[in-house]
Amino acid sequence: MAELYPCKLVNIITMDALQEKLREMFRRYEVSGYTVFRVRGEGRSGESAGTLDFESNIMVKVILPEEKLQRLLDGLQRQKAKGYHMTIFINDVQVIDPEKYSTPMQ
Amino acid sequence: MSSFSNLLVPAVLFFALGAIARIIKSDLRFPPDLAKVLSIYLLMSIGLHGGYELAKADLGVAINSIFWALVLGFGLPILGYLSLIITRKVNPLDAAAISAHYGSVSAGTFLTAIAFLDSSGIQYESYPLIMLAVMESPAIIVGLILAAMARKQLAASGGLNSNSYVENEARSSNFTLLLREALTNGSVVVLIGSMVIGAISQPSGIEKLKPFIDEIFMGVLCLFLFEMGMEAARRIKEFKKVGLVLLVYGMLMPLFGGAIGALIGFYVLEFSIGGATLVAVLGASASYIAVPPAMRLAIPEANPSFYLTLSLGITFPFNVLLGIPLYYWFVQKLSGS
Repeated sequence: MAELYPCKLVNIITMDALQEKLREMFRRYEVSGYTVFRVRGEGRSGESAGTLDFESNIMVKVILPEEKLQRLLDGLQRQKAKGYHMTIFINDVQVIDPEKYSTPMQ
Repeated sequence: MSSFSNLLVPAVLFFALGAIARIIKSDLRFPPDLAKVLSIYLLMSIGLHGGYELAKADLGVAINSIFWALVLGFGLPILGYLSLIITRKVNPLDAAAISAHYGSVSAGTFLTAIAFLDSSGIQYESYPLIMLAVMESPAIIVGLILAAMARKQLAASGGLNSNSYVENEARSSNFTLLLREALTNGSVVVLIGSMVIGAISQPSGIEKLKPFIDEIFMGVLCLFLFEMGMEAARRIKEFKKVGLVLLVYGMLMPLFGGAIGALIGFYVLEFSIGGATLVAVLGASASYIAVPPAMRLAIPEANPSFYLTLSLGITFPFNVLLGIPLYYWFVQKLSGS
């Protein structure tokens, strides 16, 4: 039976235009990888229908070991302080290959 | 043909149909990304077509057109910014973001104007097309400079807390990055690239593309405006938030920009009535494709409700339905015909 190891899953919902910025951040904080989904929704800053570039939203998911979490969250907080809209929430998850999430992406 | 028969051009009627579908809460939805695909097609076709025509054009007139496009692109957002500041209805950062939209151009409005001129059998020069390509980016640069100035001013007056001032100072080092983004914007690349391809291709090759770039063009424009009508009507619920003064600004600014464009097109560039009408449309239109994402990235403090409602909800429908025939009428008056 496979052994399970605890990790953190960071979910970020933000505008499509920020994708490149997030990518740079993930590299800087030695994140092992990320997955992007295109999403639609409505919130305090209005509706994001995804028809045109300016209102296309993405959801970015990152799995990382707990010791790397705080640094990434601090970086995300700094982006939020600049005025960028971001919804950030964290899940506890379990993985079967913890070493994969400790190796920075290329 | 009367000036106001613009309302009976199929593309404009589809725009109205889209708006009505949204207002009556129809379940009509276009597939995701359709608007993006259609706008790439439209820019590619108009670029190929224009490039092909421009290859035969006069270089001196082309350079003169580019110069005046730059004057409009850099000048209009500054005038727009000053007039917004006078209203005292928005803070300087919102004013910078809004005015960047008015200095840039809307290819959708430009193409609707071409549909209007074509359906009326009015001739026009191909130079305004280079101006369309040139005018996409300068306003973004002016918007960034105005925003940087506004931040310094706000920080000095204590309107920004020191922390965000430091953050924003750090961001100004990203200025070159944003500048690069303004100049390598997708629509600029498609338009200029297609113009170059149109200019250097063998005429026989372009001839073979005619069904793609000519015959289905107006149909695709109808589809695009159909969807944009729905998008524009979606903004109506934001009108209250924006307020009366800004709503009026969304109609006065295109009239002002349109008049300047018409005067430059007719007297300075000495274009025909059709060509000068297109320059007026360039001066009048506000961007809703290239500039909003750039402003969201560069001026996150500005409220997107303001600039999106103004450019897409007010100015775009105003130009499509009333502005284009008005600018045509104005140029006709200038010519004395």
